Amino acid sequence: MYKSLFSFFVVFVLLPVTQSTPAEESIPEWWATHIHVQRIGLPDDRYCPNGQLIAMLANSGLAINVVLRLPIIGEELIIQEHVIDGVTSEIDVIQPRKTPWKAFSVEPTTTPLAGNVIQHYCSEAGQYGVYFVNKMPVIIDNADLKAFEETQFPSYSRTGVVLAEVVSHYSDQLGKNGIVFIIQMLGMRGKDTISYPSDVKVDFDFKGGNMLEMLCAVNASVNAADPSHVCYWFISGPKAPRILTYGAVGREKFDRLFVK
Amino acid sequence: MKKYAHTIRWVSELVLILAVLAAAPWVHQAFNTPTYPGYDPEAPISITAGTPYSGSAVRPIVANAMPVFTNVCVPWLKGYQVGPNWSADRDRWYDSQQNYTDLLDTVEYKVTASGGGVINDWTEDTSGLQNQMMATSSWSPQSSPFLGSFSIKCEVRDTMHQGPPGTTDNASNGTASAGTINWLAPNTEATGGSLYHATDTYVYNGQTYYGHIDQMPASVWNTTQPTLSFKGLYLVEDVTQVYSSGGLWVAASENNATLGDQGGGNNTYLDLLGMYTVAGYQYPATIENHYRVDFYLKASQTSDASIALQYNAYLKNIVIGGYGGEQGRSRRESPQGSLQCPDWPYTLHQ
Repeated sequence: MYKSLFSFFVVFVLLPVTQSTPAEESIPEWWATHIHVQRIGLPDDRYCPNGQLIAMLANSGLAINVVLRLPIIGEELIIQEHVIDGVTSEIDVIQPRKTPWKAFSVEPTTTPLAGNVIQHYCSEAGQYGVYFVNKMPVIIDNADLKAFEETQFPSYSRTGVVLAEVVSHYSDQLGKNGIVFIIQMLGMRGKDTISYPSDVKVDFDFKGGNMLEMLCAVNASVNAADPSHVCYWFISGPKAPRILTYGAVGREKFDRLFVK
Repeated sequence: MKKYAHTIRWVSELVLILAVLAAAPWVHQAFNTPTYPGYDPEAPISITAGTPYSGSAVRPIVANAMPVFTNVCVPWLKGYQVGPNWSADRDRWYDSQQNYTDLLDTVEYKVTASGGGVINDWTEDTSGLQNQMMATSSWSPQSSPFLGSFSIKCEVRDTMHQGPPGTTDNASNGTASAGTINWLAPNTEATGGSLYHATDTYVYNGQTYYGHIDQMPASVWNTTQPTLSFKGLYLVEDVTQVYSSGGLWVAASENNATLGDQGGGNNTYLDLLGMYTVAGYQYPATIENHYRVDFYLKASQTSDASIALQYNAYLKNIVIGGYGGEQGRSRRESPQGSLQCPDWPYTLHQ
């Protein structure tokens, strides 16, 4: 009883106040839904870099949109000698955490709210906050948030186009802001096949807005074209420019995270 | 002889009883022949099982650590057709000239699976006269993993009376069974013994990116019945990055393929599993990325009722893709252990 009240307080009262969250109607319904926390695939290494904690949170099916902040060269990112199969090479390595991240504490017989779990791991990862853009959560740190919100993108509408065409329309402006869009080819079938969601035809209609709104508008157009997946984006990289990729979680995988 | 008298009498009585029982339908018919004009509701209810097929279900079955989603769908077909209309129950109205008109009546049905589990409790047929299909029952095996066979039974009984005013309906029942469905799944997997390591250029938006592709052939099939098709089964590739030394993460990707499409419609599914790790990036950097590919077999409609499902194959792959301006490297771990890219460690991206 008290736990439920506390969860309600955190999601609907504390979050909007502390995280500069827009109006409550911008929060997706699943954010305040109970979640099977054990189905979230987190790193085994409690000393893993913060970015890995966030990335695996996103890639485990939650489909949260992420901007990983750039590591500080020489401090958080250093070049190390690395041996693979007996061959030594220099490799960029993000340094591990100094303290282990703490798992979300949950009673064995209870299921927490999804928003509380995500909020917890974002806090564990350091300076990341949760913001909402058209009912889509964005994980981003404060410095990046300011820059992304100040960067305005013009309106653009096209019907029956693939994601690459949409994003390439904005590529120059993305490039000026240190973002390069890459079409990923994960799990491809044959050399020339470009994997989902790059080949989904979408109707894109963006009225203009900041960078986060533009990136999330792409999600919305892909989701509308293919309800069987949940589209999300990820920005990361060791040095500027950072790489933007779009990915998709199967709707079944997404739905299985939540308590029916 | 005397000692058998009791037995003879007992057998005689039994024969008499059986004879009476055997004559019951004739007697029933004789005493229930409608007067003319009159109403005859006595035709038996008729329902048949259509071709069962597999369908998606939300309950996972875990076999070899691979979740499979499957159930069986059985359509139930009405047995009587009058003009364009269908019904599982047919009654007749005779005019004074003994000409008859068929009247299609309403039924309700109950479906149970082998073992007695109720799939559909008594439910009114609301399918409409234009449909031959009364209903489709969907059932998911409750064992995990499910292998073997099962049967589904549909019982039908008369319900709301549709005959002319002043007449009474019969209460005849009927039963149909879906028969036995054998489920078949891929039970063998094979992957290539070596990695193909390739450089590749990828031009996008005026910029050239050098790629590093790891590919391996992978196939699944059933060894016992190689002529059967897995048509209708879906393979889901769920690719997730699980590590990046330099913090270069990409969003996960899920791709679907229909089993049979890739293998020419036969038993074998063949795929090239691959990772494309972008290299030739604007800055010199070498990053080690790890990906995990989870494969799921998922049931869907199949045109062949004797086949389907599920399971077995596969597999958890970890592909380590090299990334860098000067060289790439590649390993595959699990299940055969580490395999090294054949052209490692030579310079790849010239």
